[in-house]
Amino acid sequence: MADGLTIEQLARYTGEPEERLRDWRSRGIIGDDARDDLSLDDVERVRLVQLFLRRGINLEAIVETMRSNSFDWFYNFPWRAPEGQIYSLEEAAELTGVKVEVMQRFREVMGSLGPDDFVGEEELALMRGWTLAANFGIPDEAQFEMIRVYADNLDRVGEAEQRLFRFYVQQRLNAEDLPPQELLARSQAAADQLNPLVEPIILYFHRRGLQRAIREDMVMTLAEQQGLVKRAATPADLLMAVVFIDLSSFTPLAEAMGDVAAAGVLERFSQIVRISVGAWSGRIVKQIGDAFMLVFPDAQSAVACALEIEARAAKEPQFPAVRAGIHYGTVLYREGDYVGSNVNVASRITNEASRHQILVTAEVRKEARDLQEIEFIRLGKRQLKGISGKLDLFVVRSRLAPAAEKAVDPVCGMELGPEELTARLSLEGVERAFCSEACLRKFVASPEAYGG
Amino acid sequence: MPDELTLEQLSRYTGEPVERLREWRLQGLIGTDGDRLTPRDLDGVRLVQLCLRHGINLDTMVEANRAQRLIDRYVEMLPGPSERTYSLAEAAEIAGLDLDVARVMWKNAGLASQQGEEVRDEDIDAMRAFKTYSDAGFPLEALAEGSRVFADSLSRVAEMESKLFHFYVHGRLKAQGLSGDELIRVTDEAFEMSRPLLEPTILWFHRKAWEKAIREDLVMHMAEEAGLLDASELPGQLQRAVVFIDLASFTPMTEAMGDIQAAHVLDRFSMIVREATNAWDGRLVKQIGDAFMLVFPDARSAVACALEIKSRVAREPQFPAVRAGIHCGSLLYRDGDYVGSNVNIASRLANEAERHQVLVTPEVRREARDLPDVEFVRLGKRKLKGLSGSFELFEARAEGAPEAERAVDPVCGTELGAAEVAARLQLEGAERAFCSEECLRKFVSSPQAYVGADRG
Repeated sequence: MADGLTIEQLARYTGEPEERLRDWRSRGIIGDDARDDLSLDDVERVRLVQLFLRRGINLEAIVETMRSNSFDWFYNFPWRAPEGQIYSLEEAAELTGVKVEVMQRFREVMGSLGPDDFVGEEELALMRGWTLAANFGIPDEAQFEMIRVYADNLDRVGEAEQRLFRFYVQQRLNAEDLPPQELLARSQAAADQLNPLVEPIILYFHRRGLQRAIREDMVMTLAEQQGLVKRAATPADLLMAVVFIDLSSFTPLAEAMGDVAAAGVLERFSQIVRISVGAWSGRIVKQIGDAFMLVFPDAQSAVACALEIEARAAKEPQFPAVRAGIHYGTVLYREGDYVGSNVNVASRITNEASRHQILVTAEVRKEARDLQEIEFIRLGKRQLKGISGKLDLFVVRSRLAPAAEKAVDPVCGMELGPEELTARLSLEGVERAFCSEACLRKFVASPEAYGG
Repeated sequence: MPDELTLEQLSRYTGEPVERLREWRLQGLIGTDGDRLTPRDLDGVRLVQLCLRHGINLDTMVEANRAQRLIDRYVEMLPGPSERTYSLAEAAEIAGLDLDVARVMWKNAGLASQQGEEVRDEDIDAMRAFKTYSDAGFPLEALAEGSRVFADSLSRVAEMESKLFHFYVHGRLKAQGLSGDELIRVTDEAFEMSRPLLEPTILWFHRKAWEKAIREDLVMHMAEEAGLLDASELPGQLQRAVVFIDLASFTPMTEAMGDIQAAHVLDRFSMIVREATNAWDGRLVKQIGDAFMLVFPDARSAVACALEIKSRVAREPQFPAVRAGIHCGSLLYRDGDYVGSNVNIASRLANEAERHQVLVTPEVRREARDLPDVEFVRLGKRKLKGLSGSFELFEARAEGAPEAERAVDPVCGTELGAAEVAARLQLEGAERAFCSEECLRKFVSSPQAYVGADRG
């Protein structure tokens, strides 16, 4: 049985004046006709109303929707258990032994709405477990790091669930023109069927991830034992090869082809990157538009993987060219990310690369020079943006694969084999190839915008 | 009763010749659990393969396994012991899942490269769940997208758990002088203690995140009904404002201050960005070094949030300047990310911005112009890299917030208030301020490296 709340408590938890809460109660936005006091559900309702108001939805529209019961959907989630007590952060800190500052971080990263520095039973249970982290001697900074990684990644998961549900279930139902009650019932039924599956799937993917991380950890331990890798001086310091790889003309391509077609190209690229990175035991750290940041435990795998991606992409029909930059050195592991000067170097080198080029530093060349069938061509010293001093750069090339001659569409930057041309245009003595009539039309309309 | 595997089966699943497996068995790398080979040995073989690929030789592994049971212990640590294994086609049939869908899930989850086509009981359970989604009307591309987001996000979580355990638990025990069997025993104990806590923690964060996503969805739904938003036409299309915000001189700063100092600055910046983003109902889509990509339901909150971050950063002592670019329009939600031309425009805008500048497009200005205490200054038309045509740009500024004059360290790019200057140097008619003697020394030893260069 949930503890009742007074209107004063509700005001304190949500930061709304009592006057206004009374008004909302009289309009039926909060409270329950069947009982006199308020409940934890009302805390949730007040936060929602606050959110709506901030987004410019007015009180009348809210009251209207409340009446049509659209909110039930939100309240009927299987895990919503508003039972039990709530505690202030100080009380919770005393009960669990977790520092108030650490608890504060939980609330901050989860984006709690309003000045509600209190926790429920569920949080309390979590905090009890969390004390173990402190007992192991994990410093506060690292605990904050853990909180952020959990929050960011599961945020992304929660967002994906909700968006995909909306795009593929809700919007399809909306398109059927059902009466409101029927629509609500159907989407409720779909949600009831799918929601219980979510947590097992999350745990499944987590176990798989853990399995992989444990394997990598073992390789790291053995590599240290064999003296292949120097033991890092500070915690979180790792010796890694960092790769940035991107499509050399994605921005003009997205502009010329439209978002949906460009997203299709990106998906093919992402598929190629994933398969190759998996095969060379690297990690995709992140995707930034059309660019991927990858890390590898050694420079050899990094070079081999970049070459494989480049070769696979070059074989794709109607696809832009790939370019990459690789550097090897110590990096800091932070929040599921890798940071430091050496990461910046890899990223800057990539900006230097031209179409189909894979540029590497002298460190990479030294580590990877035994790779079979690969040559390193010295480019000379270059000054890179934001980095003092000059870097000796090399182009990596596979001795086996001579690049096929392909024409480049001047509008979208797509690479085109002889069979993929839609149009050829000779203008002022220069010949140009186009992937589609749309690109041809754009070019003809303003040749000067595309270097004509 | 777990399945017994023959050497031939093990060879077929892992692609290793039978001869070699026999040798590994003799060396005690696999098959240490009595006479039989089990699915556990599959894990063992894959570990050995992985180590070999990373240049670790067999002698090291044999030695480590003899002295510390290293491989055996890692195999035991792997979660979810399986009773038997199936081929992908068998598994798909048991789960009732279309083989193509099963294959997509398998590849996207990164399992194809980890365990080939060998499927375990727990994988089949996951496939059954995918089957239910498929029946509920999720097309193949939605399932592919979902499995990528789940796999990527949770793999990042697991990586963090394992790395922090290695750095702070195992590493500390070692630093305390524990070694050999004692170190193994204590590390294993710590691992066993922490393991039961991982899953509830994940589920808690997930619930909170889900609640947040549902709230957002509800607002979107209400806003559509109230006529504030147009319903999207394509799956994945959303009307949003995008912000790119970064530190104007982070690369030279990292080089000058070192990785650890720079990481501290980044931690502080990240905390400020997160707090402001949450307060304005935005989402942190990703962090790219010192740059953050944020997405907001409307241009007003985007502008207000960027200005809040800017003014909070300006108040931090010894901190670089921020700059931002904002654009709004329709975006595509893909794989937990937002893509499309409008995203590219926002990112290019941020590159165009000077220190302390928040640049916005006319679309943003139109939507956000009634924001109180904010003015938009017209900057004229500019060309943006990679984009055709030119763009009319505006700078968003908080009214009534005059900026204090601050000096900029030419080496690390940190902004310095009058009290924070460690040294001032007059050279050839110009005065420069430095945050530390170290930056001063760097400057004096090669002034030309820090003058006039593009300090991106």
